[in-house]
Amino acid sequence: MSKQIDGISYSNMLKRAAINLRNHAGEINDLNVFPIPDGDTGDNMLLTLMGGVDALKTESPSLAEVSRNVANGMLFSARGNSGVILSQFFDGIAAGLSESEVADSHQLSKAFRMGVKHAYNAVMKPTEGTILTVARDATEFASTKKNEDAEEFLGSFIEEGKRSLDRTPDLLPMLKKAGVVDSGAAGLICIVEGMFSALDGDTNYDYTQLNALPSSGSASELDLDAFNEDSVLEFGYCTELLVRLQNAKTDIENFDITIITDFLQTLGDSIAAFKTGSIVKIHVHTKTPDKVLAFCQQYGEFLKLKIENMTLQHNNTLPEEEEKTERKAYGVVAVACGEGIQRTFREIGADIIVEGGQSMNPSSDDFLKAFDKINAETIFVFPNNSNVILAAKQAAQLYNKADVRIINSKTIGDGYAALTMTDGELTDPDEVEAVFNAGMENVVTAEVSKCVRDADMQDIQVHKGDYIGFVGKNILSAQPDRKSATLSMCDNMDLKSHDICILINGVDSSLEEADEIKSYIESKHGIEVYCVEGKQEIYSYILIAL
Amino acid sequence: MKDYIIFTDSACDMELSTLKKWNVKCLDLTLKFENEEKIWSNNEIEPKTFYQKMRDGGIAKTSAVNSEKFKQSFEEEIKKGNDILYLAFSSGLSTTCNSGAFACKALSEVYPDSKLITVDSLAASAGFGLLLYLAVQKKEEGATIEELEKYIKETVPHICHWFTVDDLVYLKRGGRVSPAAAFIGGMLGIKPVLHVDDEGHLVPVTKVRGRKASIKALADKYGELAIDKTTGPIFICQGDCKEDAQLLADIIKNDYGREIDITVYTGPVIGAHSGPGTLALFFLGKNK
Repeated sequence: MSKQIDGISYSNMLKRAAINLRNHAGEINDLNVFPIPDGDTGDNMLLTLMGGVDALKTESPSLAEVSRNVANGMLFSARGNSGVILSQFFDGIAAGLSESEVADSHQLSKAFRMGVKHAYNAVMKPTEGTILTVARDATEFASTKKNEDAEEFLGSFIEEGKRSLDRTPDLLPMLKKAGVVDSGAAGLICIVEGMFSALDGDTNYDYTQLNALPSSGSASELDLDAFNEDSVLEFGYCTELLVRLQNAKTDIENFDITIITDFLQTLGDSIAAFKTGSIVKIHVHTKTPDKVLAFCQQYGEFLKLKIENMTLQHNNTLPEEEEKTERKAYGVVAVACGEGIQRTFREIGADIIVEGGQSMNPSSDDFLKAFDKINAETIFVFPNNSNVILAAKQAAQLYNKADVRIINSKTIGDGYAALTMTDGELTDPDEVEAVFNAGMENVVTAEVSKCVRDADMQDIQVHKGDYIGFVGKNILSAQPDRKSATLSMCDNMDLKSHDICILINGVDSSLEEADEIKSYIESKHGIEVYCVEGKQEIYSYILIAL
Repeated sequence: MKDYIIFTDSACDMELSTLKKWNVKCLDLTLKFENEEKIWSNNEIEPKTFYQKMRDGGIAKTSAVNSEKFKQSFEEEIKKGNDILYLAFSSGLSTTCNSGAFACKALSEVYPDSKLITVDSLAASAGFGLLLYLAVQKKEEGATIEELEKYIKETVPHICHWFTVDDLVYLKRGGRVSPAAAFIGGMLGIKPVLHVDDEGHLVPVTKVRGRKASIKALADKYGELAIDKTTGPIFICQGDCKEDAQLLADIIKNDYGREIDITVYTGPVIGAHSGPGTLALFFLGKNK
């Protein structure tokens, strides 16, 4: 029984939380209200949590110090609404532990209650039936237990947390209709379960698994010129393998992972390898990845390979020394994904594009980096998804070199409408903001995507493989084929009350088909349509009615 | 008393037959497509052919009329005993006006008894044509060259040009609009509404969503600014977008009960800068 927690145990708790969350991130992603593949709560929470884990570089027995470092790391890496709320929860915990070198259940209870308070403060209009409710219910329940044991406190938290999680569909009809529990709340339980498991006294726990976890930082473009015709291989290759052990090649059940780790020791460093079922995940830095592949193939076949020249990675981490331009009155940061959509946003005046927003939400730190690249008095930020707004707001609060204003744009249509209505000559930030807001009036963004499961949505039965057309959470059409779903969606949109449409086709749809849809809308609804090759994932079409 | 001849240049977008009927002499600005040797005068190339070349990616460069050419043409008339009033393309858009003025000044020294006057229209295309039309009427009413000069100068601030383009990229390429304005050019579906200001420059005024909205905006400007909505002349210029010109005429007919007096092509010299899909409305207004 662990009566008290100190900095060392808290740091182990965090690591175990990350490993546990990693193992369940996929399931949490799938707890998606909408039956399309844009669920990413598990990934968002994991990447947020990894910001805290990455901050555990120096070991300290001081709980106050470690919990503060963890919280700070998470505030920066926070992405997605659940991620931001999670980071605020840990920020509150750190605030509650600011004078505690160690904590028993009383201090923990005080800290968790502070965490709940911070989490609620993170959102303007708290929604019940989410991570907030579960954090509150579980903390209240655990706090009523009269004992001093920290482990028991977490045990009680999980006990009630699970019950509260099961109640989320009663509080949020959206969840009930979709037949799921709240994904962010499920992520929180998963994290606390991981933390709890670290108190089991297992001193031999294999923390090298952490090396195989994603870093909290967002991936950026590699500079291929960093390794030229005359470069010498200095850093080797960062090599990651996912191997499926084969019955024909080895006794899977009794396969000893040290066979691999011992071999890897002879070839490189930064070694991590672990086995889950028949899958072995391997991470090593080596100059001879060919030998690693040959060795591993004796036991199985590859599911996935990643081999990256670390000179490129290394070069990539050097600070960018960009020439600062003259300070502007205002600059624009827009969140966008899809090559064509990003180019369009650059053309209409976005200075910096932050990648993501649909299946990969940017972190607060991604925003902070973008703010640093713009030399402007006022920075306007255009989120493209309601799940991006909180991380942007958190970044704005952390930034003091410019007046950062988050525009309440929840779709790329909002951003497009707002940006195209400025005239580039206004300088007063209030006036500019007013023009942006006016531009977003009466804009509707509809999307078409493929269903990944059967679902009963608002009296419309959708089947796996169907295409659905929707505006926000409102399904307008469901058809077995993409084009019919799109046309039928348009027929249900009252396009006549708009001036023009922008039709953006994704990676899975062709320009020819987009052209047919354009002709249909123009002749049937008498409205001008302009096509953009957006090259976005997930959404076959995005239709903006302006 | 000596008679006088009205001169103009081909940036006025009036058809040759019209100019002939008005008894106006016209000097030609010229243009040349990149990667081609041939130099076209404005009236030499069919508008339809010209716009097709532009749509196919042809980039045309225009040249002003030089002062030598002005001198030759003016001198011919002076020798016949006529004075000269040259109504020029906006000095805010071309150096043609300067060349004409220079020629007048030079010839005045050689022919001290002749009057050679250059008047800057501060107008372009059929707005310039509209001013010319009014000047011709005034001359026919018997105005002297001095009276006509005074009348034109009084009328210049009332010549309204309201137009929209399909793509600002052409105006941007020719440096005819400010970079801030040209910025609108890349915005898909967003159409600029421009006018010619008091200095004869092209200025974007607003932008609207969609072509139809931009055409409607032109008609709305007529309603807002026109001095005389019962008889005042109305001209339309179209850069190979006849249907849109018809739509604009229909709106004006429907909203104000007016017919369009003259509808012409935006000629190649202007079109080289404004591009295919340019649609412009001209009338006399309270102000530009």
